[in-house]
Amino acid sequence: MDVTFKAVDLEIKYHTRQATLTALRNVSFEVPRGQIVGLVGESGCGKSTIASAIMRLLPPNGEISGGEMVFNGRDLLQVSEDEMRRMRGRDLAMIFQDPMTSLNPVFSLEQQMVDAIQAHPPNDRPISRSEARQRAIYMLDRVGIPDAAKRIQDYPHQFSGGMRQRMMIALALQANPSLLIADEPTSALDVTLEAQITSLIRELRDELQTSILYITHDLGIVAQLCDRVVVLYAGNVVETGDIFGVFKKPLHPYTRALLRSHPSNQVRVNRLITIRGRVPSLKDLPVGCKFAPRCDLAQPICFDHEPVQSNVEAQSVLCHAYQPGWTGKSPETLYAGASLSAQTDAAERTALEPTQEAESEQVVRTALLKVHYKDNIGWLGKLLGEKEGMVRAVDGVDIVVHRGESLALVGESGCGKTTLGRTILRLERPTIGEVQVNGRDLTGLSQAKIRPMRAQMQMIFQDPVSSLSPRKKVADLLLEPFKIHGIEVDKSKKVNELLEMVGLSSEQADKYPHQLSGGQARRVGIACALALNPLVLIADEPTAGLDVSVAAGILNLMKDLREKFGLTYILITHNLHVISFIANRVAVMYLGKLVEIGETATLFTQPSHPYTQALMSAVAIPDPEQRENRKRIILEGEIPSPRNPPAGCPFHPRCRYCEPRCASEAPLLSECPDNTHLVACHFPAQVVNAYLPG
Amino acid sequence: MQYVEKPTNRIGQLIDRLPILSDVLRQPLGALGFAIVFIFALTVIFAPVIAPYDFARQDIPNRLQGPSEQYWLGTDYLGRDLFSRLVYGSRIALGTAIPSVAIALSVGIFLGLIAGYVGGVLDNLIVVVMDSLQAFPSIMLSLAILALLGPSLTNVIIVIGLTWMPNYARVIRAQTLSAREKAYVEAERSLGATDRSILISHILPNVIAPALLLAAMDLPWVITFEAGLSFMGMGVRPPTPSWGVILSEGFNNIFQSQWPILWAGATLAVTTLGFTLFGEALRDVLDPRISGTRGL
Amino acid sequence: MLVYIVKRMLMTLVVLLLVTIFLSLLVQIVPGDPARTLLGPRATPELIQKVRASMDLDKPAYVQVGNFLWKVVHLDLGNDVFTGVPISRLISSALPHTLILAITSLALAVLVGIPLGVYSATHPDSWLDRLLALISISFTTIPSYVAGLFLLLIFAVKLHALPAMGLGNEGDTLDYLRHLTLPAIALAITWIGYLARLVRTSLLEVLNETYVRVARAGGLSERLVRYKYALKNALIPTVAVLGVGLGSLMGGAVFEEIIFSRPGMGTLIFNAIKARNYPMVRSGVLIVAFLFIFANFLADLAYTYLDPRIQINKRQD
Repeated sequence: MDVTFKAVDLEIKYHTRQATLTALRNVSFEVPRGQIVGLVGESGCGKSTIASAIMRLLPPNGEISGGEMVFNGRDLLQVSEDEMRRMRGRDLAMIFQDPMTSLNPVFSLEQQMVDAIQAHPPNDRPISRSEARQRAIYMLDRVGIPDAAKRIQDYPHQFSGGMRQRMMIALALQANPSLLIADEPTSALDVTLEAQITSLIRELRDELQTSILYITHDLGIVAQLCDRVVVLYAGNVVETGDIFGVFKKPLHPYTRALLRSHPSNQVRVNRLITIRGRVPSLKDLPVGCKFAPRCDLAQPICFDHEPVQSNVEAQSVLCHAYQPGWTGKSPETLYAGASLSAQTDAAERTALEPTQEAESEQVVRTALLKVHYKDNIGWLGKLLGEKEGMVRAVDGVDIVVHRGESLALVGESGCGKTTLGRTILRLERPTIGEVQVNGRDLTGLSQAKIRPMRAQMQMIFQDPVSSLSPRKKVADLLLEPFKIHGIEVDKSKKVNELLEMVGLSSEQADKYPHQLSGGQARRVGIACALALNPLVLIADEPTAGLDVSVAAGILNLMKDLREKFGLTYILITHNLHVISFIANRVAVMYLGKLVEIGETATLFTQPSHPYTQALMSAVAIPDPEQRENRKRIILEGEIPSPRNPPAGCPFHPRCRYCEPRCASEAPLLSECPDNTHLVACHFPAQVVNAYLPG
Repeated sequence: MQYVEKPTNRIGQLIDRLPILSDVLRQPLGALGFAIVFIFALTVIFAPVIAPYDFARQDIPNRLQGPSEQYWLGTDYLGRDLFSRLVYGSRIALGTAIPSVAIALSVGIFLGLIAGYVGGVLDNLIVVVMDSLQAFPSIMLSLAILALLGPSLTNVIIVIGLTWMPNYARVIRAQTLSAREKAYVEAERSLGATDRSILISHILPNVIAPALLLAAMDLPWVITFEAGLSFMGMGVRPPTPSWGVILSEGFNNIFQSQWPILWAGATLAVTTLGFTLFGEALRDVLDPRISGTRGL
Repeated sequence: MLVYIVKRMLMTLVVLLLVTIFLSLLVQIVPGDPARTLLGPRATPELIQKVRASMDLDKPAYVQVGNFLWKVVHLDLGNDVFTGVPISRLISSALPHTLILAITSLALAVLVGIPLGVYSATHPDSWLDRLLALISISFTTIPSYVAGLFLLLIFAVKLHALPAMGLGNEGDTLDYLRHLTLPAIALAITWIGYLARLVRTSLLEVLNETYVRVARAGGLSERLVRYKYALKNALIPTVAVLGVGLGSLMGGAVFEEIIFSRPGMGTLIFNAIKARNYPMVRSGVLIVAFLFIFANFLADLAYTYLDPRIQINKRQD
């Protein structure tokens, strides 16, 4: 097999003031020519370190202390720095995670691209600036930047995140390198954008035959995009193999747990598998197998000796269980049914049954709710002819949430879901329309009047750590709600009670927020929100920024608390996997309007709005076998600015079913033909039929 | 293990603070700075013990002398011992710097908090007034006001306080503005906290730390400033031995004796250097802790 | 963009207005009678009356302010109480020297400080970097008047290498420059240190940014990365600081003018203060403040021009 890149027994260390830490050890894997290899792992496993190491761009305190990196036959560790620099950009290229900081803000696109192209001209023949400019325009066009010839003079901040990421790809691939390293290129992007970018990457690979090392934590993307996969845990490669093999028959206990804790909509379960314990910090690595403390199969040998690599058919795995002489249980017994291609006709999903609307009371209700932000121009601006813009964050939303329901508000950036959630809690003021919570009209009330009612409606904020006051200990934070509302409590008892409720040990009480992990901080946030027994809880991206297994724990917790306290949830998220696990109704938003709303199952199987369809098909499911089967709808273009929504149906410029009527007439949210849910489209029947197989 | 509410323990807090000191001392420049500040502090406290002579004691026959056994650093134009005058001068330096900074800080914090949190017209008003105060080079402003009020220790303190205040107000305002947008403020609001309680118990503690640090690092500048005003005769009146006064007298007699300028200048330079080094080392150590990226 | 500039101009005008009002009200805080204090031993009742009239002290405060504003707008600062010479003439003969001093110092600071800062940032933790760090901090903390006095001591008094006072012979440019050397260096020292440290910090920060890593990963030469890409990003905030610098140097010039006996705004105001010549103080400080505000405004504009993020706004959301 022709191999573009091969890592052999790579060992990388970091020298810090306190100690020298080994970030990666015995790392070996291959990237065959023309293939996309996924490097997967949770945060702290060392995947970004590998990327930097291959490019030999480790920070000054990093050292490649052992092993080989063979690139096109040459050992990169033997190459001189000058030679390495020549290879960067020309033979080896990299795209980075955050498009917002990857481009220099004070130089125009043209300047940056021309410099890059002149540094590595095609065929190594020096080219003039104007030739380089032509090539730059060609590349930008190729990656889908509209109007490239004109926009090349613009500055990075004038482009959206998706556009910037395309530019990065253009920059990286312009010299046609043999190896492209993609370090989480789509983690910061919305789902439909992610689909666009991964599709673009695949196209370019097909065209240029570039070998790609795709680094990500998202199992779904790996399943959809990659040919091979390498699984990392705490600096070790624990499993490698062909994509179908690893996903269908995962060998390592960690891989099995990882797949099994993924809340994909293919698996109907009541509880997600979580991996107990935490990823060990580099300062505190266990002796022996690094995964042993968290492994359900661990035997004494696992704690004493590091495992060696075993080969099982086409996969390789680093686990004692595959060595001769293993006395414990076989990993295959772990989480039976871990394979996701199998349909489990599992237990009923309690509390996910559609609620009887007529009986249940309405906990939250909005009517014709609009939240518009006007630009503050002032008389001066008006005098000078500046136009007063308006951001229509929420543009006419009617929703009803009944007691005990869990409604998910879904949409991508700029759709208004967060604003809607905050307006329901009256953290924002409605411009037009009504908000009612628990029967009371909150619309016109002053903050002072709303304050006492706040106990009933609480929010879990998006960023777990920064939503906790940095100078207060956890115990103080937990007691804060009682202090604010003047409720006397037995302090020690209450703190312990709340901590236990969210599954935290009482040691956490004395810590400051910055000392907590993401998952712990999230739990503290939940505890604070639940302290006063609210009726309704609005969760803003409850799993954002959390690793798969940690997120699984949070989702399980939320489910348990819902049952225990009879909570009503409104979940704001763009993560469709989360929805399928915990929400029973879904409302899809686009540019401030509701486009579809109905039962979760219905929306997933029969999406009737073109945007919902695109969303559903863009979601990367961690099942490689679904790659070919599913209809993949890649949306064109990007979300328009909420300042300037298109006339008529807001979605029509990107809609594949668009007809002249859509540009002038905005569709109303109405019952769809089979009366299962509401949709805002002129011809939902046609749309649904186009989507369904057959 | 159950959580039990702990009483706040003074000794515990002290022990908590020691690691910071040792971190500071670990850097060579920080250690140097600390040493200088320490010596300065000792001089201030033990001035009467350290200084061999009264700072106003004149010895005309021995005026404008260089260093000798009797007068370690030499004498000034009135035969006063330079060493003693410099030693007592440290008290003047600190005695004007600390009250000035205290005034500037308290007024600045108050105005900055209000401007940042309340916003609107009040904010614009405060900003414009602060901008106007800062539109003068500080020396000019102080000189002008002192010209009118007449130079004296008290007036100097007031004037310096006034001149420095807009800076703190500005910093606090910026900090408050950014704190206001932070997620935890909104979280508190959603719990039902009033604006006032948020301001006092959540924003203030988070905002005050950088301001205190800034104030500590401003001490050397204030000392320099006061000395400068005294140098021009607009600060404390002789015979009070402000280092600036010593410089001024030395300047008037520069051709007869260079020692006063040399010693007073060196003292000023070394003291401000020491404070700055220490302040910066302190900030480097404290900063990550303030923003909370340390730990784990 | 236009709105932004106009807004800034308006703000500046408001500040100028407040400054003028503030200064004209300042005379109210004088304990006792300003006219009498001004005249000192020469005070006779008629003279006191005359001075009071010329300073509008009989009239209510708001009239004083109004009159002064009116005069300022008409560029009429009145005549000096002591010499009868129009104040504006006194100022216009003193101002150029101060400006020359301030600008020369700033130029020195930029030419020496910035390259030092760049070197430090590109060779971090080398022995030269550490040495420069110590020097920079020392320069930043040494008060400008101490620097001036030391330079005077060493070069003028001891070594007799450079002149100790005055402007030099009339019409002789070289001599003027010789007399400018010591004060300009003394004034520049603080800013050399400050700029060196500022540029070092800025550049180091920029060099750690993702877009610099991206440029390196793209194989651009280290020289290109540092001196073209990173440097521009780092220098933009530095330019903003220079405007403030010019203003603060104009204020600090007063020390050097006194130490080196040079005529200029500093000496003018200082002597006026000693003589309790309030109208002169007021006008002098007003002009300096105006220049300071103007320098800041220019720096603001320069910053807006250089940073494309501010320039083109609201095009893409």
